[in-house]
Order: sequence, then structure tokens, then C-alpha cells
Amino acid sequence: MAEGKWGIAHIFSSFNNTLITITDLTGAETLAKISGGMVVKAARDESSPYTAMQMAMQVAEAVKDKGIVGVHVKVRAPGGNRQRSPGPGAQAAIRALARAGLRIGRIEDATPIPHDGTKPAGGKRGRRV
Amino acid sequence: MARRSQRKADSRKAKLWYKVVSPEMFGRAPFGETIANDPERIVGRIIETTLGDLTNNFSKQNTKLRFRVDRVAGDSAYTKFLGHEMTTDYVRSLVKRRTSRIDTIVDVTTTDGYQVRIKPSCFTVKRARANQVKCIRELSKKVILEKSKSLDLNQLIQDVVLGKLSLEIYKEAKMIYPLRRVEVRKTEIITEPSTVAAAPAPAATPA
Repeated sequence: MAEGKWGIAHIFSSFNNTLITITDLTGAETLAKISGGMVVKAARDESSPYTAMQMAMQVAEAVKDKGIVGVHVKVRAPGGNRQRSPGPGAQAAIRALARAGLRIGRIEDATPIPHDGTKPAGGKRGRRV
Repeated sequence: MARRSQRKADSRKAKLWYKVVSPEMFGRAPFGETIANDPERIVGRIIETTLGDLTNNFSKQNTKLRFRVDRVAGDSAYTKFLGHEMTTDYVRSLVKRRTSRIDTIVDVTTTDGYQVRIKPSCFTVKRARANQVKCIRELSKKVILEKSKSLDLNQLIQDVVLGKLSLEIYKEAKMIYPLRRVEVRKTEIITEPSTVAAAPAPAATPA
């Protein structure tokens, strides 16, 4: 593996928010974390790709101060009985991390998949709006 | 605000980086770092890496290995093997329509007393009949039990991770139905031998 210290970037991306937490390789020590609400005022912007980009830039700076040169990425969607595919912020966040000068190692999907669980919200006839 | 940021800087300075060293069966090489203010806190942390990273073999990127730190000496943290797993996207790439995926779960005991759960998957070329599936499942169970009878944990893990065990299953099971691929999807160490488990616990506290 490449020299220098590596970390793990846990990116949780739903339709309502994006969370980025960068930890060491064990995941036990958090080095930096950020959420959509720490960057933008409006709640509806918390999940947008642009916000994710700004968030990633901020975290990358914080983490580079602590001597991290690269990150492995674990992308996570809400999962469970909700969406299995990550929201709009995930891709933007990864790209921005790379643009900010962090090296990207493995990218892995860490969405929790139930081996059969509870019934999703919305009822039998689906969500009626 | 200013006071808070200063305190943060202090707590970070107190923390040290520790090298994480792989277990003997994977060459005792440092492969990562972790940070802590107290070496005792590192014990019990779980770190995940791929076989590709450890062996510089790019084709083994799909095998994830899990290690647990069990001893810290100086600035190195020594780890123990905890289990392995194929990445989800790799397993998903093997699953195809109109073919059978035959999962088996086998508990074995190694010669040095570890109980290990091995989970192989066979993928057939075309959809197999239920009794063929059953047959293959029983056969792979038999092969694993027979093979692991004479192996200790080290050898067993080597065989599993390097694909020797899955090759053996493949050789036997293709007589029943043509197979596309056999992979050991996951292993877990369930219990360790009690004599070994009792010994390092008091030894770890002074270190």
C-alpha cells in the first residue's frame, strides 16, 4: 500500500442530507465530520451535490492538517427498508475529496441490506401525494 | 470558541499514531495506522483490509480480511485474524439469472481448537435441479469437513483465502453439475481455544 497515513471516509447520503465522517482505518477514532446543515442554511439544500462538494472540501482540509494523505471510501445509502442507492450527494462528495488532493483508495458500498426485515413505510397502496 | 479550539489541539497532541501489524499468517507486516491517546484503547479495535493490499496482488482485491488488535507493544499493534469476506459487489457480479447459487454454511474445528464457520458458494452454469443442488451442498460440506480435519487455523485460512479449498470443492462438485465458479464467501472465527484465550488476557494488561 502507498506510504503515508490513510483513513476511511464514511459517506452517508440520503435524499435529505449528506454526512461525511473521516476516521482512522479502524473506524474507532473520528478525525473530522460534517453534515449538510453545517454548510448551508436551508434544509432543502442539505442533500444537494453542491453542498456535498463544499462539505468534502472542508473535511479534506481538516484531515490533511492531521497528516492524512488518502482515504478509502465507504458509501452508504439509508438502506434497511428505505432506498438502497445513495442520494445525490455521494458522487459529488467523492469527486470533491479527490479534487481536494486526497488520494482515493477502495470505494465500497456499505449500505445495510436486511436479510428480510420490517415492512417499508407507505402502506399497501404506496405513498399517495 | 477560542478556548475550545485550544483544548482540542492539546488533546490531539496527546494522541499517538500506532502501526497496525498483520498476523503471522499474513507476513507480520505493518499495513495501517491508528490513533489513540492510550495504547490500551487500541486493543479490541477491528481493522479491515483487502488481501490485494497485503500481498500486492491486484487480482485479490475482492477479499476483505478482518483483524482485531490484541496486543500493543511500543508503537506497533499486533492483530489477530477474525475472518474474511468477499466484497458484496464481487459476489453480486457472480450471481446471474437462470443459474443456481448454492450457499453452504459449515462449522469446523481446527486441530488447534479454533471453531471456524466457513461459507462457500457455488455458482452453476445453468439452473440445477433441487436434488442436484442438495447434492452439491452436501458434497461441499463433506469436502470442507474432511480437509479441515488435518489443518490448523493457519493452514486452513491460507487454503481458504488463496482459493485452494474452493478449487477442491469445484473439482468434486462439477461431477454432479457443471459449475461456473466456487468461492468461499465468508469465514468467521466463532470460538478460540479456551487455553489460548485465557493466556493473553493477563499478559496484555502490563503491556
